[in-house]
Amino acid sequence: MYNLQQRANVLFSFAITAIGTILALVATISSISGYPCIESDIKVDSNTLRVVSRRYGPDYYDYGTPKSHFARLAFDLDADFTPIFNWNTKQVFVTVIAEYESKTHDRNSVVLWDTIIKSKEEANLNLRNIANKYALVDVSRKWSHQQANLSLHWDVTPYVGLIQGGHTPSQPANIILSPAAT
Amino acid sequence: MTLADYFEWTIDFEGQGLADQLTHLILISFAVIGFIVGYVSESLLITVGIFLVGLIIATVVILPPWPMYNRHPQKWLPSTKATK
Repeated sequence: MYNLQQRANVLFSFAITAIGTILALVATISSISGYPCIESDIKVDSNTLRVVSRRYGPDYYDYGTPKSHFARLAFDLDADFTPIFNWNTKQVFVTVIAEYESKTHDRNSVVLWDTIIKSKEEANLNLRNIANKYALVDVSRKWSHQQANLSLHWDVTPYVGLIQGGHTPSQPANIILSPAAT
Repeated sequence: MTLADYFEWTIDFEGQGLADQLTHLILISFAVIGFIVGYVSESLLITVGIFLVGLIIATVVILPPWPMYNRHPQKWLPSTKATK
């Protein structure tokens, strides 16, 4: 501590230790207390379900690609994520997932739609008539009357600490995925 | 005296002990205050902000060679002539 260089070294290294301890404490509190569970309501109008047989891609003209059965549906989502926003919440990543059983696989999960909530003000979701953002296609490229159930999943990105998440139980949604018309 | 010589900013031995105690005192107290205020007002930004203010205050109090760090200058023995 005799000269400036020594004092500056001690000062800044202790400052890093101190801020590191504060942030480690914040992360530990978050991982112990966790985040609450959310109740949500997803409603699907089965009239909005359409299945078409087409190729992947916007052009549709690559005749080397095989055709798949694409299902498209619209749903309403009600979920209040405000309890999840505490001092250590940076953003919440929300996804809607369709789950079904098929002949070849016991569990299939397809992400239909996702969003990122960045602040408490936009955390109360009351969305109507959302179309699925991502393709609802089966691995076998055909649908054969499987019943799909929708559920809501979320992942919380903290400022410091581990990523934690949760999901609602699957709600039977009365969607029967039938083969395409053609 | 060059600029590098000026910025030595040396302090005496007792002053070094005082500077050490002050860095711990200032930084720990601002860290604790920042944690409590941030927890109560639900904002991590406030916690880190209060700590940064504390760091700036600590820089001003500890780095320059204030007179309080030079109150006990080293007492050297008077020089003696070399005997043959």
